[in-house]
Amino acid sequence: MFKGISFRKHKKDFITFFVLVTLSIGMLVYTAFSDISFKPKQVGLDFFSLFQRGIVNTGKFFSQTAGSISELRNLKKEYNSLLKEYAEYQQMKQDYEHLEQENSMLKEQLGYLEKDSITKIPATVIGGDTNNFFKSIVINQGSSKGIKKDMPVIAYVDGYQSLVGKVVEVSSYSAVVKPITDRSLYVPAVLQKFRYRGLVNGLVMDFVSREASNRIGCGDLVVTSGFNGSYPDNIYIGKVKSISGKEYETSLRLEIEPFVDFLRLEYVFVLDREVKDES
Amino acid sequence: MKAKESFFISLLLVFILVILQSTLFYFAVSKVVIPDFALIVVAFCGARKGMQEGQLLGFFNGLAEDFMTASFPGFNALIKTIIGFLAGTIKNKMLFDPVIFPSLFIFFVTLLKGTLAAVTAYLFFPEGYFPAVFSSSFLMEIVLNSLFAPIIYLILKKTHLIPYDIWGGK
Repeated sequence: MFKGISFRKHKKDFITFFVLVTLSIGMLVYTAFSDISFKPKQVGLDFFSLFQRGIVNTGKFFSQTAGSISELRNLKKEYNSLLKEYAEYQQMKQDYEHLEQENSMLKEQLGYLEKDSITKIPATVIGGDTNNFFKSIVINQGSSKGIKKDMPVIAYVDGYQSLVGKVVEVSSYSAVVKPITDRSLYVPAVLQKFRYRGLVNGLVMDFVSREASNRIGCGDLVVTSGFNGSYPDNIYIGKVKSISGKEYETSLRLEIEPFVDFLRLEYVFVLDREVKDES
Repeated sequence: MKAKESFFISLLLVFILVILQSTLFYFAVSKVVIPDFALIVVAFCGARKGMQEGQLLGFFNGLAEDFMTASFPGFNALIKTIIGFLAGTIKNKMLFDPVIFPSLFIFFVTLLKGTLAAVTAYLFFPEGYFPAVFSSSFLMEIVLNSLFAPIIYLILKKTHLIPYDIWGGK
């Protein structure tokens, strides 16, 4: 028989429910509408990242052990080809040193001083979001390595620096990264070739001048513009996938295909930008 | 198994599942859609053992997820507490067969999770922070959760984490 729930009989359950819901709403309101970092979250992140790290490392150990036999076979081949490449690089190194010397001399003559010095902090992806509402990534480095909230995160794709996202939560030994696929992230961007500016949000570039419609096309590269200083300039974001925009609108809307394959992302670099005084 | 003992084992199971969901399942099974195994455990424990256990398990499950993800702390805790509590209201009132009811039950529980997520985000999130609730990946999650539900139900029954009889009584 289906009976109703009696409040008297379940008084304890209802009181617990009220307490838990109040606690949850309290945390939610506190963190959603204030910039103050929530200490328990950082402690919790550290605690759970210990297990995440352990599981990921164990998984890697087994997969690497299994793969090591075939790896040995390939090593000999790679060694020979690397020897050839090494000789080429030796020559390139000499050229590079010469160019660098020349460059610094010219810079000195022009009175140019570097404004930013960027340190790349390497990190490994140790986890992802447990639910499908958000698409965050957990990395194995935190404030102990100098990582701070809002630092940009990149990855190398075919040798090019490509934007992954930005740090949104930091604990001592891990950090949560929000990827550029997230709709709450806004990245000032520019079309690399024709220099039309826009704002990338959830893999859509908005506010691109309508003038661009005759010049740009699918496949054009989108990079960070460095505008407002939140991300360094010239970091690849993706390629233009489609262009849309109604006739009465003043700007175009470009759909972007990201360079980073978020499904296979393993290693990232957090950019620590130390801004030097301009003199 | 004593009630307290059973609760702590269930809690440990939920924590393990949350960690596995964010690591092994994330890397190995699918980075796109991950079934919410912890939610299934919370819902079954609530439905078979009552509101108190359901809501407490739900709260700690949600809190663990909140700590590990980019969501605001309290978001998942609130959703899962409500789910655990509501699941507890059907204790001793529904007939649990081994396959169909667990699947149907989890189908509606996952749907409820999405609805609660949308309402919570609408009410409490700052502008521009709306998570992708009703997306294709969420529909996939509903399907996956419903498919895995009978298996998890069976495991919970076999390990005596939920009562063995079909009515869920003591």
